Amino acid sequence: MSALGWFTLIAVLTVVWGGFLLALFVALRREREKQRSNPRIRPPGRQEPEG
Amino acid sequence: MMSREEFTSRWGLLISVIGIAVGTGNIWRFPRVAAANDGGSFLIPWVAFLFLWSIPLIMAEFAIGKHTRYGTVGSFAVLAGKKFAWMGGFVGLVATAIMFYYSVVAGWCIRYFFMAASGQLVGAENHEALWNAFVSSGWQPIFFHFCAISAAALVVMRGVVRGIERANRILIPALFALIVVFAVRAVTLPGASEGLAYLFTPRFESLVDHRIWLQALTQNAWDTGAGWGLILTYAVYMRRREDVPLNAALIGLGNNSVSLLAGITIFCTVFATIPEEAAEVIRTPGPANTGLTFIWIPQLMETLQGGTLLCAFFFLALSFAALSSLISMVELSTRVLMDMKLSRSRALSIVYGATLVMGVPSALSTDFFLNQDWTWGIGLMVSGAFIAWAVLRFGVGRLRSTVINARESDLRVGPWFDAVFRYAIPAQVVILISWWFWQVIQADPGNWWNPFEVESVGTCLLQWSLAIFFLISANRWIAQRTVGTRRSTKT
Repeated sequence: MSALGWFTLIAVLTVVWGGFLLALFVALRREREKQRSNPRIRPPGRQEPEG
Repeated sequence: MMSREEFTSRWGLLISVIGIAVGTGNIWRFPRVAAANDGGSFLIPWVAFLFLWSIPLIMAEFAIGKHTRYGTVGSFAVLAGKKFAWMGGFVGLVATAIMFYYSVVAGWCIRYFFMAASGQLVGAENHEALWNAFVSSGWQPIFFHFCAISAAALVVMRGVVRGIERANRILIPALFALIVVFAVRAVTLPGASEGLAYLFTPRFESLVDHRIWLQALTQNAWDTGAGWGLILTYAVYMRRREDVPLNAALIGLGNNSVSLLAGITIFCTVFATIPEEAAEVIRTPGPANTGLTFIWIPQLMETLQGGTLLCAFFFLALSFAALSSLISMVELSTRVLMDMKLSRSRALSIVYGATLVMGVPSALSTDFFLNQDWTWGIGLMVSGAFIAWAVLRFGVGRLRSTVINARESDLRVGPWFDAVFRYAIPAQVVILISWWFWQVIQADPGNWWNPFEVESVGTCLLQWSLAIFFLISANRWIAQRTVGTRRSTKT
């Protein structure tokens, strides 16, 4: 594969996969912080009475 | 207002929305479109449009569902005013029309999984004849369409937590695992690097070709689920203190990550097994654009060790992807009817019955299937435009500051979001619809107006007009029944 091919591969994977993993990491951390600051933030799923 | 179910956690919501976004479009459409548009040259605009179309629209859908707590019809009535409920109806109708034939596609995937698992597929003499015999058998596509919609309806019947969330907690991790296994297997094949080179090396002369940019935008519009109203529907069940912007970014990036994995798998496998004809084969669409998947994948698997097992796993992954998306379409239609004060079971019975019947013509006729795919596929761009319009009418800055950048949000979205909704999305919709229509006019200059052609401007305009006429005529009744006396929140 040419240098340009390697460059595009790294750039695309960094943006897409790297972005996904970074977002996942931030979400995990924020969720842990929220739960630590308020343990009642995670209510159990409720069954809707509509049907 | 009646209390509604909520997803049990952020992960329950995310995994269910990933189930919407990841569908057959990632596994069969992305590699084919990337191949037909010069691989590496296609990836650059494809990544750009992820940020200019998909993620902003996903963000808007999350925000609308969370803010209004109504499905497509009710959310338009609340957001833009009751006299615009019909626009939400159109968004819902487009997704419902797609559901009618998507259930047939899911049925094909299930049938091929069983054929592959029972060893009928790998080693078959003529795969094209096998495919043609299946689709023209009449009863088989109908039977498997019934199986697919019944499975989806069964999940939706159990509700959001015990049905949708639980099913996606099984389907999506299994799908990811299967795709990762495939990708690892593919990149370790001898000669796979040629496939990577084809997929990732851009040609600068292609980068200035407008068709590649338009195909990249189309792929983003079709395969992320942005602008369909499906994410809006699941957002109705978001927890009150749930984040919007980071979740939207996770969905868009996660969806495109799966597409890339699928692309790497297909390109590496093709170039490793048939290096001479690889570039040509991978571009071949085949009947109903299914050639790559249903005709060619089994042939490809034959050349690999453990082909029967791999083939079965491939169609299992495809079935999971199709079912998780089909479930969301059933929930969208069901939610719209539930907003009209029907119980879940009654609403679902109507949706289930209608899909059973309305899917039959697509199961029996490839032309009908293609016509519906064409009409409502382009209709999705109109749906995206309607959602963008509703956001603008409500006030894009207001939506951003009050819902997207709410206190519980993990990210702050800047004014770029407003610019995307004011300029970029309307421009993309106009350019894309005009371009697709222009393609059809160029291909058949004498017949583009004919509404009875499979793919024509006339058939789109006729079917959309009928839908819009019906919805506008019934607008007052629909709005009254859905939101009653609730006042619009538009400024």
